[in-house]
Amino acid sequence: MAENSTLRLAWRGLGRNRKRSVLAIAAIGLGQFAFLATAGIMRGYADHYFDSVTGPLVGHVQIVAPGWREERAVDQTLDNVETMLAAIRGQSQVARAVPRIYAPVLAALEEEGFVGMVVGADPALEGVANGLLGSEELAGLLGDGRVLVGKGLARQHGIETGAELAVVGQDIDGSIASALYEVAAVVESPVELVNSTGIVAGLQDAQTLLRMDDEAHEIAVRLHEAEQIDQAADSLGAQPALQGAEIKRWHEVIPQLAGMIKLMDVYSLVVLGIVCLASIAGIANTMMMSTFERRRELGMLLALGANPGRLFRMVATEAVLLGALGVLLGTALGACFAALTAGSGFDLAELGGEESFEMGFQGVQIASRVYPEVRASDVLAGVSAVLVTALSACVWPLLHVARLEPVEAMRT
Amino acid sequence: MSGNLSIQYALRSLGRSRRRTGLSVLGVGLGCAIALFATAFMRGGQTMRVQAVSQSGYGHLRIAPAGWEQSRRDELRLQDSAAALEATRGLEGVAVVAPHVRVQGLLAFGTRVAGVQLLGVDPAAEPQLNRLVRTIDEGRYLQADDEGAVVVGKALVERLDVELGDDLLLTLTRADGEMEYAMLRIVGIASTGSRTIDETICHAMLADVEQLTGLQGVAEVSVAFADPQQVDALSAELAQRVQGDEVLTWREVLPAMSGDAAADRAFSNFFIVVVAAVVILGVTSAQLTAMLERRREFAVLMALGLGERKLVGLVLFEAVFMGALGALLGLLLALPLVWHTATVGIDFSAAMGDDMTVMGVFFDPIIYADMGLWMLPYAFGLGFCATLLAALYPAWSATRLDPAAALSQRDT
Repeated sequence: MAENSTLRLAWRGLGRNRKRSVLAIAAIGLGQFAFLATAGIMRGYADHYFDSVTGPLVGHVQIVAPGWREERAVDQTLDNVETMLAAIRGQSQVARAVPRIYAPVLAALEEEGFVGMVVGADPALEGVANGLLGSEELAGLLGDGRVLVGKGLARQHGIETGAELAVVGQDIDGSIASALYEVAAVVESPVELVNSTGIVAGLQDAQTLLRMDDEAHEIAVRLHEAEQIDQAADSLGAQPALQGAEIKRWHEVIPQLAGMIKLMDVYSLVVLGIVCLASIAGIANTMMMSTFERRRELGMLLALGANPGRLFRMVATEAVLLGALGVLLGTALGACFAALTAGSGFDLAELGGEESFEMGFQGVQIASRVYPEVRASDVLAGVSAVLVTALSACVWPLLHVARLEPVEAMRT
Repeated sequence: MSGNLSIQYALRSLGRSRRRTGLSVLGVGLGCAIALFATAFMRGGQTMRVQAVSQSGYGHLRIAPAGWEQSRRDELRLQDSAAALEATRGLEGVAVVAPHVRVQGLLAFGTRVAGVQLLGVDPAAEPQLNRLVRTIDEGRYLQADDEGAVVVGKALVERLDVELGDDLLLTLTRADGEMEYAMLRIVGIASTGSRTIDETICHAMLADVEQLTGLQGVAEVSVAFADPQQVDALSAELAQRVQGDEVLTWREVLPAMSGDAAADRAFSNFFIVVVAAVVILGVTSAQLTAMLERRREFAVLMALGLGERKLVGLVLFEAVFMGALGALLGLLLALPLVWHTATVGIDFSAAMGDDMTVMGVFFDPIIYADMGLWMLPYAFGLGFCATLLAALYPAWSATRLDPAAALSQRDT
């Protein structure tokens, strides 16, 4: 029998009991779909977290004064920021480097007082995509005593465009620092800190408020390629201009989020395990039934001189074909899911009967709406898992075939 | 056939094709086990979430001034705090009643400054409600006769570079818009293990905060119940007793946390539905094969005068029996796993670090599954559902058999 005819025989074997084959294919397909949907949702969340963190908030690599991450004291600043920035931008991997200043203040709007965080940002650098403000128009409003206020802070305290905010804090020498700012706009930022407490001021305004010279609290560095983080961090560490500063990779700055992103991969793997179980159950069941049903036929083939190896191949081909069809169905369903949700997203909280929400976690604004992203590598993972399980699921039927005595089999 | 005889017949036919019965039972058992474990884990997680919220100082519910839910303003006060406290304390099932007032301010020491939300508390009730202040690293928690005292978190102490006994300068805005300054002496340093939480802990005496803000009365009463399951029932009862103020459950106080819980639930349900669907498909496939093999047998039974209803009853009884066996197997498989997860738990601290904080709620990194009597009806319900649904089509097709035609064919 040529390979071609093995395939044809296998196909005919599956067609013999169509309902059963369809059910097995449906079970495997459902499993593959569940895996693709889960992997897609998890990746959607993970990408959302990663982009929010490495984009506007932390960057891929961060440079801060020693101890600033822990203590966040106003006077723990980086000196000679311009020289540092020049050295950083000289690295080929670096796409952007932005200096920032953070200062807790007591802000007053007419009679009401509240705590806010003055975030000093360079308007020329933060207006681009992945910047703190993400819009050139907004960035253009900054400077000369004009500030932008985070959406959450504005809503809570009734701050509107045009309002005057008095801020009081402490400068780097410990003296009282105060300023009067005009609210140029209320902004929504992917950075929770900015949304909930942020009063974004121009870098120079913030430096004036805190009596800083050429200083800043952190420099967030974004690279061309996220894969170059380690290499870039090492070469930045070797720069003489950055001696004495702490150089941290994003996952060192926010280990919880890095852990969460890793956990999502684990979760997808668990679902993949279930897909394998489902395929094993579906394929093993079908293949066993069909092998037992065909004892007589298989016995006859053996009696006619068919090589047991050929029977092996036939049964295995049937199993793989079953798995392949199931995976195809599941992949098609997964592709539909991805196509349907790619534009509008997919809200788990709404499915669970609650309103869509956004919450702050470790400084990042996390939305319940997720944009699933199914990758070719997920499809491949599903396909290989199902094919491997298809082959292992037909081990028992194969053993049965191997032990078949032609005469015995034909008699029963 | 009498009912008893039907049962005997069904049992015998299950025993006759042991391999197929075994495979179906194994399929149902595996599915039940996966669903049981997933549900036990999810339930455990949900219970822990409510506990984590409650013990992080939020309680299970809060009596808040009318309009607070929308505006979230700290300066609102309860209309009648004495009545609210009395009504709550008189309610059966209430474990802790803790009054609070809040104000935002700046804490400063030397050149160091930090923005905080100062929480005015009743020192007797607070540690019962809030586990975050139960572990005092140095010094002690607030006491009834304290004045001008403050308990702060360890991370805040590091940030301000202070130690026990130091006097902190607090700056805040009074209700009338005037700036107010006060010195607060650190009497205790709390340490939760979470840096994010420790940065926010700043507790003072309720009377001190009343005086500093110039606002008399209580801003909120947080209530924890002995049994978290009773939140909804008790909050409805409390709402009738409290006039003029609002009774909010933790879901309304932290809507994003509630949304996150709903998203979790939706995802788990999706997962369980997929597992159940895969199990049903697998069992249907086995049942269908059985059905086809037993065409002649059913035809004989019908030719001998067995009614359609009896025949359907026979097929369904077989299904119920297999469902019960599957559920038992599922319980046997799941119990050791659930037991282990319920006692030892799954430790996420390796992936997430110890600092698992979302919106001021401190989560334990170890999640314990919920093991309980709910598992019995759950497993049997799922087992019966799977096998009965799987038997519907075979039962229906059995009734459509034409005995004469089925008997006349020797092999189909």
